[in-house]
Amino acid sequence: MELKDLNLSGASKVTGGEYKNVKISGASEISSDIICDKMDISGAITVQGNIKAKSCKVSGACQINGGISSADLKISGGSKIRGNIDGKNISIAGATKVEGSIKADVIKLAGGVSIGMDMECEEFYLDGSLRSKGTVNCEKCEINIYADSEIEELVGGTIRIHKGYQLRNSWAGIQSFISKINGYIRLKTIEGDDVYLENTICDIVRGTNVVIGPDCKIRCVEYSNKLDIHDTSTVEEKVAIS
Amino acid sequence: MEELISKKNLLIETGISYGQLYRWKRKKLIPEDWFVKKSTFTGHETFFPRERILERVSQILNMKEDVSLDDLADKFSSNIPEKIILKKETLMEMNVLSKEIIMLYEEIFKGKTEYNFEDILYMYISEDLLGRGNLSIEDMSRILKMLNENYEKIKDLDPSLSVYRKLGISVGILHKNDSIFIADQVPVISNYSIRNAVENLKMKLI
Repeated sequence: MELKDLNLSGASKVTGGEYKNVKISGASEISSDIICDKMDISGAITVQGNIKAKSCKVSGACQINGGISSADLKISGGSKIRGNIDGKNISIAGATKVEGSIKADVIKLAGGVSIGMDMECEEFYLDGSLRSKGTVNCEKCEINIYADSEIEELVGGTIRIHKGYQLRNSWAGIQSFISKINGYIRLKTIEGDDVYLENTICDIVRGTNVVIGPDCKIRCVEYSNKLDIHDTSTVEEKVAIS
Repeated sequence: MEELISKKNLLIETGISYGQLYRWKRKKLIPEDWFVKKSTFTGHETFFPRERILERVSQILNMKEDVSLDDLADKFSSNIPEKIILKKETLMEMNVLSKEIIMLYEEIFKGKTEYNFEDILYMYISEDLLGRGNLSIEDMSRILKMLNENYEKIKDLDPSLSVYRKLGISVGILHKNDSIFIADQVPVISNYSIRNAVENLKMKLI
């Protein structure tokens, strides 16, 4: 059976189902699960069920009450996703709130994102601020902090946390001004093979090679190979593990 | 209560790194529920069931050379390897199962000449359970039927099997976690882990 496209604008209500391409804008509601190749929703769309799409773009202030499963997912704006997200390449920007967990190959976050549960990926990038109540488990992570952030636990192979003062464009310039005043990231635990930290407040850092860069406050570092601490940082307790 | 090992000691004892440990967790080589969080005087610490994690780590380290992590993950998961289809003769030659069990299974499912992993798993479980001497062949065929009907639904839940008997009638229960709380009989088979059976069989077959 040839699948049909679904194009909607305005404020209407449709049931889900299977489609080829879906494009919805305005303030519509999809009342059940939807499966399609390409999904593009913008505006104040409510999806009551789950979304399954090869590629998916969500912008505006949408509310997804289910989860999203999509190889290529882009979310921007102030949307809220209540379920879990899984896919390959996932990028989330803006003041998006995800209540569930995220599993993907690559996760890119920018802006002021909030995640309720665990994140698992091979590569993790954050530019901006993040509030995460779960564990981030990744092979490689690059974090640039632009405003106060919180992650419960950050674990994996290579972990790098930087102050986000690199000037990329004029907007980042303004952000950097603010970040110098209060851009810290707070964590309970960091565990990795190679760890580099700036502007980090953390209870316990465990790793093979640990470099505590500028402006960190760490209660305890356990390291098995190397530990460097910058002058402007404090580490209350240092434990060498052999 | 199973003996636990702290994460720190696990790393020291096995020589693996945090990166490896968490990579294996992501690849599902180490089940999520083996990570037991406990609060200690130094804050929160993660513990593992000692024996199981040490065995798993050494299995992974021993096999890593020639197998990719994804293949390895497949081996440890509760998924059924679809590729495996064996002829009766091949299966007999492999010495994984006794001839009697294969003949018995053949009798129950008449006309089968090729067996997939699920068939072999049921034979393996049958052999294991019948070997304990508490179940009759009749009980076993009822249990197999129940497993067959429910396996897809429960496979990721790490199910266990317990069998009770009253007035000569056996009742099989598939459940999760270690114990059933309400039962007026002593179980004939108690907490038989299906997942262990899957893992052990995969070790023997693949």
